[in-house]
Amino acid sequence: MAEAKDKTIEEQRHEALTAEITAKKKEIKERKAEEIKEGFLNPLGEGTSYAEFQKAVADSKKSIAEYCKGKLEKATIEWIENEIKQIKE
Amino acid sequence: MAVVFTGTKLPQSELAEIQQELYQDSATFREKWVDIQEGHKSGTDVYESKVSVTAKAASSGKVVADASITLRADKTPVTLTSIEFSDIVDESTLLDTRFERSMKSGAYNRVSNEFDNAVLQQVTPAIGEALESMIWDGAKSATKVSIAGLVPGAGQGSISAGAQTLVAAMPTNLIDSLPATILYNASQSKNTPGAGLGDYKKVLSIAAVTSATIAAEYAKIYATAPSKVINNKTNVPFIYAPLGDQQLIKIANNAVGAAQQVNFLVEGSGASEKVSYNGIEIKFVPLVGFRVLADPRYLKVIMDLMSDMSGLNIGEVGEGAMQRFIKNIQTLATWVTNQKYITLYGG
Repeated sequence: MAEAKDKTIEEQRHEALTAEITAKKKEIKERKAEEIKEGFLNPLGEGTSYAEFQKAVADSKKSIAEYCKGKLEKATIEWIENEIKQIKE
Repeated sequence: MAVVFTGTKLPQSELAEIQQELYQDSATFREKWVDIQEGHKSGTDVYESKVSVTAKAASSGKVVADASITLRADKTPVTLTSIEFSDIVDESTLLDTRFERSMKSGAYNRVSNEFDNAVLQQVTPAIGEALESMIWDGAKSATKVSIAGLVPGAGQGSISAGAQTLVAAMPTNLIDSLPATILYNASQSKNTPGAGLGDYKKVLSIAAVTSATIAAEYAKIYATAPSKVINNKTNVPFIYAPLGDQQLIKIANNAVGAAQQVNFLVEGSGASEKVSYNGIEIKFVPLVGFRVLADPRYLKVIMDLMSDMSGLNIGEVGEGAMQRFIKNIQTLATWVTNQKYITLYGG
């Protein structure tokens, strides 16, 4: 308690924010690990990059369409395919 | 009798009116379609506040500090950039043209009133058009590099590859356009404060916008926008869309036969025309690829004086030069606040 009083409002806010961001990152990391374990890394998940998604697809030895079939809508799969095409270009 | 003429044949009349170029209206500034903040010379601090409260079981004891009410105020400095449009005009090239007739007698006088009134006065609307384009399309070279360096992803909280492509194709300007600022900024009010991706809401699963798909794509924007923004009756949001969307909307609305579905409301005509989607008015601006749904108060153009846009300094170069200078200078920057309530299609 005494320590908190010694800190400025700015320092306290920075600490709280850093803790919040760290917790969020941990949550995202755990969720992604769980999804990969279950066999489908959702590309729409917060914090999932296309690089991570492409790796998951490559590891599955499937095409993007095959990997996402039944998990995402057709229009979303087409959009993601188009997005990845743009990255490759 | 044969008629003989010797000499050069010339047209003996000319159209009195000099047909002017058509300039895009700078309605964003004139009609204040975004929040125009004047009175800033070189930089300013933007403040954002947020209060969050958590209910708890009532107690008859004394109130203790438990962080169940958070009062937050964040300050972000925004630097303005000064830009100018300037050049030297040498009217000697107007000798031997129709403009010569409006030059005062005396070999030193080469200023043509007719040229000033018909051509030079177009500099101001041309500047207006250029500024209107700058605030909706374009980015500083450093911002382009930063956006290209972001890690793309499909979900919320990451930039789409499509947005990176659009930014790479944007003109490189001295100021960042609003879409560039929405995508990348150094706000201290973001979830992760400081330079990086903006906190905007991204429209997912987008497709090419054509007259056949425009209604479906606008439905995606509408569905993605936070309910708080859509339901705000006091500060109503706008959809900011590329100029070409107006044509696509009207083609879509006026499709003949079974394909006809009137999804957009078009009221009035000419200057009083209003186009809306699900009750949200659409403002057509020089956006390229992106569309924005936002409360206009959250999209800011911070500048010294808006009338700087139309202020043109013209004078003699001096030291005997038979030339004049033209100079227009202004200071501005774009900024965004309450970013989580800004919906960016294409982001």
